[in-house]
Amino acid sequence: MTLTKADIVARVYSEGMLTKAEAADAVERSLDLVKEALANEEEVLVSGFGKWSVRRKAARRGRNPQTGDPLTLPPRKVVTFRPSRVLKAKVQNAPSESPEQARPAAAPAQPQGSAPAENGEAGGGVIRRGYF
Amino acid sequence: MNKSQLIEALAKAENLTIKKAEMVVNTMFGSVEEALVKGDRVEIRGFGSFKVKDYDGYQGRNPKTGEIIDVGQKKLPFFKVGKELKERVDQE
Repeated sequence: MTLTKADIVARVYSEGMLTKAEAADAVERSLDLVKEALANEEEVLVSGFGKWSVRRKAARRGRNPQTGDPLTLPPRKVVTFRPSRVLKAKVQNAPSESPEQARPAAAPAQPQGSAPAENGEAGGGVIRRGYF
Repeated sequence: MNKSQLIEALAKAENLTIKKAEMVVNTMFGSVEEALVKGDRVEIRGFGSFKVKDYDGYQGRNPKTGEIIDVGQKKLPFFKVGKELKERVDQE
């Protein structure tokens, strides 16, 4: 199942605070505001969810993969998303279809109700600190 | 821009109360999160799509101590930038 914008609008409408048209406009506007901020190279931080930022990429020499001709790729700006630790932990610890997806035996079972631990900490793996 | 600034900007732009704007923003990110936790994809035209990527386990090293450790399989949320947003950001 894929969640689409229409599904999100339906969810917003089902909260019972807005008309369908208002819900649709508000969702569209929210996305526009995020896009506008990123177009202005502003970071967008939604705590507990993640952070979008714009990175400038330098010009580089590349090749036309079809002909092999060298060409210079111009500098560009790209949007990147970093999920928050909280979101990463929720996705990681979600029950999955195959039990083999579970973490190796070395990882202690996540205690219920406690703050979600960073993956690496729980599994004794490489510790990578999130931003928030 | 953070979430409360987004909520304020939305309230102003759509002439909504802060409470309503807050509900919209929270419901929006909440439903994306819920879908990802279920392992579902999210597709928002013009903005981007989210999905959960599966990564195999590998042997890594603690960069501080050099100790070899097994990094288990992991699932991480992944965002792919949509065409419109990609082009818009690169233009301005």
